[in-house]
Amino acid sequence: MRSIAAIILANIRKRKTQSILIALTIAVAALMFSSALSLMSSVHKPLESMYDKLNASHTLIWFDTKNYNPADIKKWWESRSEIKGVQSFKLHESNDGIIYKGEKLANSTIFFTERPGVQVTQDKLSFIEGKEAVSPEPGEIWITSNFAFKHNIKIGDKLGFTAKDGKVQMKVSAIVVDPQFSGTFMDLVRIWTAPGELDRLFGSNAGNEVIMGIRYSDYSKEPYSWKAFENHLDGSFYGRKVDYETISLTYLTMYTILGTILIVFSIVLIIIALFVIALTISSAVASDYKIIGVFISQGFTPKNIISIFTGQYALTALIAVPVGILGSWFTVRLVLDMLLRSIGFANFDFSMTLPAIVTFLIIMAAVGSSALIIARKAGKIKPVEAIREGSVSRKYSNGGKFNALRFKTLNVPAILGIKQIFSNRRQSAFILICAITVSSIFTFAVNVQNSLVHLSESPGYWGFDNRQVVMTPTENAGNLTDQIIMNKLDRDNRVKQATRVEIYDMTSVSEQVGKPSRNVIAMVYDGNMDALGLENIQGRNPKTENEISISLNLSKEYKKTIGDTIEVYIAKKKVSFVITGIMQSIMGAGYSIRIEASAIKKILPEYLPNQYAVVLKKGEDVNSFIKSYQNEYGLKLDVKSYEDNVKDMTNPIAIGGNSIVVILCIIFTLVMFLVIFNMTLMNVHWEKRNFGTYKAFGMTSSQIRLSLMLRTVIITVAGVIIGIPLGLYMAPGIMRMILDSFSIAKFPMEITLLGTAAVIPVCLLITLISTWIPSGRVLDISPRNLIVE
Amino acid sequence: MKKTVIKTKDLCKTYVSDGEQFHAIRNLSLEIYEGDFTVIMGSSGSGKSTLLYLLSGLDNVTTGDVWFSDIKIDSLKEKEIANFRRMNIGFIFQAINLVPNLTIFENITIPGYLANKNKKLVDQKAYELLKMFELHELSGRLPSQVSGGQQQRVAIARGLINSPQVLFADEPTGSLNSAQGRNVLDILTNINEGGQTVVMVTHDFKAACRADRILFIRDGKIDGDLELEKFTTDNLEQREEKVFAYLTEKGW
Repeated sequence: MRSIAAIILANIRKRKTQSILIALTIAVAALMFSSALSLMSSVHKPLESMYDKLNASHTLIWFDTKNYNPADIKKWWESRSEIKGVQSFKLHESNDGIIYKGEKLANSTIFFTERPGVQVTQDKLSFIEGKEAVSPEPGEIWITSNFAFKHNIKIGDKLGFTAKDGKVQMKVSAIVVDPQFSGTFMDLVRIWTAPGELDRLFGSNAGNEVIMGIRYSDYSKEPYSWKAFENHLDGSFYGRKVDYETISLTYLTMYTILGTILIVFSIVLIIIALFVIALTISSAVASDYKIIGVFISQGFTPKNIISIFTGQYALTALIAVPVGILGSWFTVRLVLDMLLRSIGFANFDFSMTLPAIVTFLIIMAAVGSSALIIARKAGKIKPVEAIREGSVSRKYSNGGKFNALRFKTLNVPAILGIKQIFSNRRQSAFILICAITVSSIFTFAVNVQNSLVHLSESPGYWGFDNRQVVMTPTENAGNLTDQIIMNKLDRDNRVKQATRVEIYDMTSVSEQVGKPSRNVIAMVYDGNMDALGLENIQGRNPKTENEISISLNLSKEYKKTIGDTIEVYIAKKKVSFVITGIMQSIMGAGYSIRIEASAIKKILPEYLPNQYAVVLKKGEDVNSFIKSYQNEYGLKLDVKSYEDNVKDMTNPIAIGGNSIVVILCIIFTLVMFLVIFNMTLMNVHWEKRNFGTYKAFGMTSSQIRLSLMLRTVIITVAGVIIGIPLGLYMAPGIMRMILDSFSIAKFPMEITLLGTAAVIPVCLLITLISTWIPSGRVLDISPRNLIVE
Repeated sequence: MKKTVIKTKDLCKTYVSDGEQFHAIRNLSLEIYEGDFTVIMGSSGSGKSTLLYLLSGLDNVTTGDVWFSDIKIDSLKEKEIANFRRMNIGFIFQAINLVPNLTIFENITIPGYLANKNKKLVDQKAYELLKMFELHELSGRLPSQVSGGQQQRVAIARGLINSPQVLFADEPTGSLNSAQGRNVLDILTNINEGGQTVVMVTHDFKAACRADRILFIRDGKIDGDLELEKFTTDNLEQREEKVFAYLTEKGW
């Protein structure tokens, strides 16, 4: 046993560089795998802790007090045994945006919510900056952490709003973690005000709405409670609801996607590491052929020999895996810190014990078993043959016969480079697979990155229309009626199309096919939807009052397809629609519908959508159009570019996606470097004698190194030629898988030819560097040394 | 008057191993003449192979000078020495050292292409050599697919492809059976008869008998220099007796 251990250590010392490279590959694989497992298992915990600490509501509902009596609703919820507490706040919704340093920030709905003047025990806030208090002072506001970080708003900054008397400025006195509103992907902005501020700011318009938080003692009962609640309200709730799943999605989506991607690619990396180990063992057995023969002749059993090779790589893994796991602790810590920052936690104790044990066992088992399988051939070596022949006779029968002289117009290094591709076919195949994998991942990354940058340029894919300008009558609209606005737009010869639209949120899909009801966002259009560029992945847009397009998530959840009917509550009335289209939409966390305004008019005859979507004629300048309307209508009409709105919705995806893409590129650059470096090192060792012979008949070290480089470059080019189309082909599928939870079935790939072409030099550069450095070993080869051998 | 093709002066080669110096060649001066078949002999560890590598430019000298024609090869840089090897020498190894993944034809032609010669002419010469050494039917095979004797004939053809000034051979029959060895020696003798300078290291008495000149090396120095007539089979017995007596005198 001691002699085996001594040989193992001597072998590791002898092949120091190679051992380090293999250890690095295993460590990176362990790092990725362990990070992925840890993220998947612990990413939800900080959110749960934050929810417990702040006694946060699991479900938020908000409604007009004209429809329900808040006291009655509160009483009903409080009577339920599974409910721990109910907290309600006065609410005013606004779509008029926020002005910060002269620029309009929020294009999404703003929830002005009054903090009561007393200490609340539920939906407490965590203060990140500013003085903790029961409520803001009059004239001051508290804003959510995600909103403040996104726009770099500091304590003492002033934000402008449209109030009943025109624009008002309010001072930010605290930045808080607001459990339901601080998620990265949350598209609603909550502004906390002092008690009584809503009446002061918005006058008679304020105070009609209430937002109520419900905290469960047992959240698993939520579907039953909600069903009972709707039954209590005669079938449907005429208001809006956000549940814990949706809230957690706004925080954790990016981390879940990161975890999924890491786990997929860490498996790819583990497979690559196993291949590297297999090839390294084969090479080591071949070069130690004679020594193995000597060992066997001295009484080592085949089992001992197998133990030497298996032990060598098991020992390497034994050191590398814990290093990788330790690295993953820092990685997970780093990722969780981003999450903790967004939820206002300074610290969080997370345990990596289980992921670490699982990673250790899986990688050790994989390395050990692959080493065992490959090392078995070392045990079969016959001592006399090995000692007499000195080296294993390599089989070149097929690849070696490849006639490289058909390329004899090339120089000798090129001929030899080509020859080596076919004579070391196993190595070449492995480098090729590696080049295909890495180039396809780079192609995927560069095009996804480009698509993410241009996300807002393809609104149709995300469920948005292609309007350029959106107009909304404000709190101060006064006598600016719909008729005046429509007449003005109809007469304006810059306008190609103007359509009344609204994001109508008082809708829910009723309980059906065994699934509970679900609050959904309705995109309402009073006009031709096709002309506004609205797309469906199946079918067509609704054209009549009883037709509907539903989002992919709804289609999946309620198992509905084109031609089926679906029941939707609109203003408390159950309406049956025929599904004409299935659409992609990231609105309402992937749960939305698209209907004609006439569908609501049928129930509410006075109904008119509250916004105007304007498409301008070709060549018209959007900014000057907006400016002219802003000048004409001032505070009565909010006029803004729609592109910013789409950007607000898609930016979190773009930012999250970009981070993932960058991480992927860094890891696989490292992988390609390690693989080619190791293969080249092995090749130099393996071909030492031949390189000595080449030198003897007059080749320089540089020419030999050039032949090695040409070999890897040719293989890489072949890999890239396959990898790039593969990456382009796979990218939409991978993105679909990743964005599935967003109700996205088709990812709008914006192919960048320049970016895709850049994959070629990047791969070649990695290849050149990772071949050139280890090929320096050729300099040490002398014909004299080989002759002595 | 014979023309000198290689000349050395005060040649030394010292190896350092574990801090200890080993003097393989000590202040050795000699001349090798054009058209000669020179054999270097000596007991194991005498420095005969080291001398061959120093003369051929395959190894660097520690001190002293080596002139190859008018080129002072001990001071050449890597690129220059590589170019020198391509253009001036051929080398035959005891271990043969054909490149196993190149075919017989490729093994012969690659050094020719490397010397930037016209590739058609290189191919033509390769075919001539293959025919001369009765290898023409094996040109597409890999070295592992032919016998040891055939491999060594390929190595000789490879050594001759660039028409070198000197063909060096380090124990070319050492890994062959007697029939194969005799065949290789016949080839070397024949090409020497054609004017090719050959320098061969051997410890084989029969091989030594093919020489015009036998240099005997002991402890890194020349201990004897025997000149012979050109080899023919006519007076073989007398020749062998003469060589045997000389070698016995040298304590071989």
